[in-house]
Amino acid sequence: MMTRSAIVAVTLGLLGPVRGQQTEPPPWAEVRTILEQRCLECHGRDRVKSEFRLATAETFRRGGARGPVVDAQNPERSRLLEVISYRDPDLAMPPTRQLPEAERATLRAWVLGGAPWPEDEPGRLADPHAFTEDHGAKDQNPRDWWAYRPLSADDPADRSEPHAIDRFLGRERDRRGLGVTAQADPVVLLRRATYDLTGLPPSREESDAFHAAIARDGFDAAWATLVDRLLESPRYGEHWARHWLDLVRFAETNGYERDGTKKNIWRYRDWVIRALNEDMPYDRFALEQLAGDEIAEHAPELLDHGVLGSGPLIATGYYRLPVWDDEPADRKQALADELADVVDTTAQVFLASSVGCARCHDHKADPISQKDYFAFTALFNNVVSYGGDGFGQARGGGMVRNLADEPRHDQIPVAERNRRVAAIDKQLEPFLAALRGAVDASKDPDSITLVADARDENSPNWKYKQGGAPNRWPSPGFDDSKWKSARGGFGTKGTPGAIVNQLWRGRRINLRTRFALTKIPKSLVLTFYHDEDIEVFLNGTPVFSRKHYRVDYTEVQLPQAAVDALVVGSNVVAVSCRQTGGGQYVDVGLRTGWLDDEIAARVRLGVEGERWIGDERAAEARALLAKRDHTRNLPVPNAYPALTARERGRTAKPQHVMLRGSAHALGDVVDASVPVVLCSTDGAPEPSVPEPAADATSTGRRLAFARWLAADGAAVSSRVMANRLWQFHFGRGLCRTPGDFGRFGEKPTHPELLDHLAQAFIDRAWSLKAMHRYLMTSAAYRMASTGRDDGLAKDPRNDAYWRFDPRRLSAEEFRDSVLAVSGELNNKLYGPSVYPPLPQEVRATASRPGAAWGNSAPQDAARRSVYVFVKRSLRMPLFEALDQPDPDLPCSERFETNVPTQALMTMNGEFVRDQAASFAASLAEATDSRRDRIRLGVERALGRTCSEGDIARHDAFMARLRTEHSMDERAALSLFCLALFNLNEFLWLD
Amino acid sequence: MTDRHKPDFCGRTRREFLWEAGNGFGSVALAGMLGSSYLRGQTTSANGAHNPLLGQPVHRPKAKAKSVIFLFMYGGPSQVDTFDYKPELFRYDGKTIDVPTFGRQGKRKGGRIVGPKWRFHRYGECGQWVSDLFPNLAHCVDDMAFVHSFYAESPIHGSGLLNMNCGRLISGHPSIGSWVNYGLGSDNQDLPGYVVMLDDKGGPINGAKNWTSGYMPASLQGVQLRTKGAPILDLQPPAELRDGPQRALLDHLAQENAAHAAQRANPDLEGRIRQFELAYRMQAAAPEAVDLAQEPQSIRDLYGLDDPRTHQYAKKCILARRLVERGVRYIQVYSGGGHNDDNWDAHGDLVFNHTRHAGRTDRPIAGLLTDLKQRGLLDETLVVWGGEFGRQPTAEYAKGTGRDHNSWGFTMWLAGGGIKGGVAVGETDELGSKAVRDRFHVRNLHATILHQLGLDPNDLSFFFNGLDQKLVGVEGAEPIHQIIA
Repeated sequence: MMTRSAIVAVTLGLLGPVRGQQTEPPPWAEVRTILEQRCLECHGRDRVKSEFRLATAETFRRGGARGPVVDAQNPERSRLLEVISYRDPDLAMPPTRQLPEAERATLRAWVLGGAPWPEDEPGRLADPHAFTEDHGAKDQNPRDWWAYRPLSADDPADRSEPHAIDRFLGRERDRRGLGVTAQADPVVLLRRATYDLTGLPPSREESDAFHAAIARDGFDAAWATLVDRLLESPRYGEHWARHWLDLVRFAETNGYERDGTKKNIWRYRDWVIRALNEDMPYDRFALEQLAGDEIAEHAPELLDHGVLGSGPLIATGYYRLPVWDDEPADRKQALADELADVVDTTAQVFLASSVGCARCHDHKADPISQKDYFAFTALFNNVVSYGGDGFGQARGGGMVRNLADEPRHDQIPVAERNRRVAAIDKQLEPFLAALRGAVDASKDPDSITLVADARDENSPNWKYKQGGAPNRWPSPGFDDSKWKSARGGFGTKGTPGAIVNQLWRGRRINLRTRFALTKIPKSLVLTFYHDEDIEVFLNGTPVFSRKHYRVDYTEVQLPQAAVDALVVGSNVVAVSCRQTGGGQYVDVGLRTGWLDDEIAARVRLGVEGERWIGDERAAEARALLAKRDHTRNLPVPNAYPALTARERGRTAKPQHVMLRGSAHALGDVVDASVPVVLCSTDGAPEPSVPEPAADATSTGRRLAFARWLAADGAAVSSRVMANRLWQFHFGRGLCRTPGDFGRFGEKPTHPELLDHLAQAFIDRAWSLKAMHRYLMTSAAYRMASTGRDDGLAKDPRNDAYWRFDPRRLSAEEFRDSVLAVSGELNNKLYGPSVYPPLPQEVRATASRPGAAWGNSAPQDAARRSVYVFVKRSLRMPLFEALDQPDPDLPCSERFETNVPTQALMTMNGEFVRDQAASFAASLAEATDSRRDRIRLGVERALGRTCSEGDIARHDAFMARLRTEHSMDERAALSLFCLALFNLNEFLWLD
Repeated sequence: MTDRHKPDFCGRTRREFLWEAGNGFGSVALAGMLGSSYLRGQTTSANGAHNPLLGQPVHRPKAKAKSVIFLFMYGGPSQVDTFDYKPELFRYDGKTIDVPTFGRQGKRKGGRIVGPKWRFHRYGECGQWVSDLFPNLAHCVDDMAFVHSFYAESPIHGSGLLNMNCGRLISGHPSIGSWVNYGLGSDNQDLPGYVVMLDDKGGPINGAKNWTSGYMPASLQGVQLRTKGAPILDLQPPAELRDGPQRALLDHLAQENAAHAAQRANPDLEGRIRQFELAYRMQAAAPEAVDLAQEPQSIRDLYGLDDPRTHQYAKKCILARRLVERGVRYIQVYSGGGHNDDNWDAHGDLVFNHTRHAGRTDRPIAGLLTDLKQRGLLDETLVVWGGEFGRQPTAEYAKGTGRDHNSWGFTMWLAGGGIKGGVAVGETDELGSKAVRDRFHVRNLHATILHQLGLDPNDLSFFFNGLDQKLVGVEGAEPIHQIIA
């Protein structure tokens, strides 16, 4: 046998020269060059990491926080050699890039040669500034940066411009000698406004109403009415939710091998839509997502009429959106990475800061240290991880809360029902007292598992037979020795939540297994999951049956008859299950004990047993039990498990700096705080977090942060959101890097205007709708997009807003518009996500092609794109092609690409062709006139009147199809509709 | 933005990186795909005079390879049963030994050794060891460079595949093919520059994440090329458009779109007009590229196209060569798909599993190398073979020959594209359990691929989220110089 030392010997061979070997050191000049070029950036005069400064022989000898870096006694063991050996990536130096082999050899020889460092002038290293970057940050006050300053109150006092936005823009245009473009045509403006606010084209009726209003009330009044109407439309929330979902990288699966579904996370999406439609103030919108779960405990004054409701909890689904690997190679690191994902996203979304840069080292441009990064992390580090601080396929539920919808008029709240049931239980209590001695005194100690279900690794084997069986099959004496045997969990794979240990495809299955008893228990609980009808027997006695199916395991208290059927010794539990269609599954378990409503259960058993209670009392008890059953069955709102934030308790564990971002290399402990550069007071960490109450279940840190965003941090957070609002109306932010206001980003083209908007946002109580009105009533928003020679020549990228930038429809807008124009769009609001058909060849790319995608009914498949299921490993090709971002990382700004595969999809793809056919059918139905069909088609698709020239050209096209390609009228009409969907005029907004 | 121009610095603006991309690598890539408003917004040089992305010549003096064919053995082939000859291991078959391992079963201190199930022989002038699993490929060893000492960060398929394809364990980062096309663009406007061919059994786990463009534009992601039906999604015009009507539609669109664009100052509109014509050309070019009817019988025999066992992979290997001839930059061909024994993931019966997958791929891959060489294409085509990790020397279960995953040490080989033939670098320990000499991280493989294409792996970056993101990560990585000719 091979010995362990043999393997060790092989490994040791790597370690290089023999210990203690003394070599001639290389020339100092060579060493000095390496040190200056490779080390000074972090260990030079103005930056001293780990307290290790390379300046002179003396500072070098002193070493850093962990002492000298050269071991004079045993040079081979010097820390300096260790960090350039690259055996431990956490210690590698320099952290960003390994040294070339030659330089490592030089340093090694130098250290082994005694690391001689001249004391005189040649021993002084060059000015570190010569080797560090000019970040623009070092020489100035770090807070003196546009994004961190207080909001400026500047307003150009030009009386000729009524709207402040136009005053700011006009001043800049004047400065650059640029003219301005005139107001666009009302048809263009209607289309622009409708898309910007709802993501859909205006309907003919809306168009008629707008033009009538202009004629009646004048343009300005008609415009104001239009904007109000669009903001009132529920389509508004659906469209603007999409912007937000890009930012928070919304997806409904976890990614990785199993790409498991995030159960009910669509409720977070609905929460966003609803919040926008209700114009929830942005500060509240942020607060509910960041800390909705902390409101009740830490800020009861923020409760809505004293009630929390499910909304703020669902909003904290924000923390459950990231990718999650259920079997990471390094669990400790995976937990740190998950937290970092939340931290980086939060910083980018709410603060437009690339804080994530400082996870491994101090930020290279912004004044954010690694310490700042982990101080910021500490605000969030007490949140239970996605897997409930664990991993594994069955995990991912450590943060589930059971919530319920708002009650409808015919429903009562769950709490009310529970209160009524509790009142009845109170009335039942005397009966229990009467039973004392019979039931209670002989209370079984703890629950004992008699038959484990398939979720338990100790689940027993079952004898099973598919199809029919003799009548006696459930009885103890039946001979099942010819039956097959398998572990429990019978069904077909893919049935949700099922643990299939044995495939069962047939119509019916019969199962038998045995368990032994040394004494008779007082009560039995059945665990079961059935799809479909199930029947359970104990020693031949039927004890339980249910119809239909369920989608998870549940428990029920078995009646007294079940207890009575038990015998000391061997018992047989027999189960039959019948199936008619769809997925199928059956599994049961059996234990002793009581379910939660213990009083009623005991009384019921006592009554049923007719042993311990007189007839008269029994009748009374029966009546109460019937009332209880009725009350329990009163309609209550739909309850569901929701993925939410949850903390580990009122105190968080200390947050360490993680060296190099590694969870295995812990540094100093830091206090929770936003980055120092954002703190309004010197030195003191912000936000200050009050001591949580003794019974608090969370730290209150996230809530404090969310409140800080609207208070001391308001200048930054309002600038960030005001810039995004501008971006989604004007095509680009006033700051062109909306996710990064730091020194890596671009400076805003109109900083004073941005400050003005930020202030206006705060002044309007953070109302998004008020801001939409404010932006859209400016002349700037209503400019035409036509080119001007002076503008195109002097300012081709339109920095000065001398015209309105044209824009392409987004992926979702394109799909929704095609559906709207064809007449197929289903405007249903809210609800679980839908699965429009995916081409078979796309499904085939999944590792389980059959289970990769759902199958929605046609009317559901025609819902708006925001309701399409977002699966990380399989996305809709049309969305991807038209630049919907990858949902793994936050996206502040979409790309806009222009590639031939887009044309293939919109021309050859099934979706657009099908919709063209529907569109053609509706045109054919509307009128028999070829000319009128064209006219109607153009009006509906392009939202403008159709000219005689349009009619002539389209008519000629269809004539060519009929004559040269022998197409019939309907086929030609379909191609005409397909052409409309492919026009640049359809895809682009002026 | 301030005027910083030092290279090798963690972070430039998007504008700056595009400027550098324009000067350093290729122009076609970004200019070809990004709308002009993006370019207007992001890429005017600091003095506003010139858009660096338009019309810059591609200048790659160090490029050895023009294309990459990555033969991905999904599931993880066992190194000690294929190319990493461990004579000691045969002797310990069935014996329980202390040897630490880390796989899907977690970390173990030791276990029952499963001796290699195939005999090894020396081949070629170089005398490299190859097991009997690869009787055809064995004769190509003089063109191949073996690296026996790779290690990866995860022994789990999900994160392991991401590690090998995208350089990171965390989802959301672009795959190698996206980096290559980002850096170089495509030489062929009619075909996608990044093509993925999947096994007929289905995709690998993670699905599209394995060929994602991550935070880069979606146009840089891998396009699946199918060997049955229309090779590319929506490539084939539907019946009602085929032949004349589609031309009539395109003519009509061109006329309408031209009139629309003429009234507007928006170059992106012209761009889309061109895309329709490009799409039309693709409809012809792509089917031509995948039309194997043009291949003579000698080629069919060379790859094993007519043998039912090798047919599937042979077809993909021939297609890979045809795509290389047409200038496609990065081609990934999966051997194995779906789950369990449909790929190289031999947890149960090692002999059954590896016989199956090696049997399906040996002759096609040997055919590919031979064919590329005889056409003079091997010099400019880098071929890479390997899985997301290797396998353990010990058995996974109490019984049977199945091996668990192993990312501590595994073999991959490279050929062509400026790679030395007939060499082997690195070593695992005597049991083949762990790389111990000249260890190479997956990043070194990525660095080698980029380097052979003339890209500097430590310089090719994409600014995202405040960082100069790189395929080789912030740590950087050197190419494997020992195997570079």
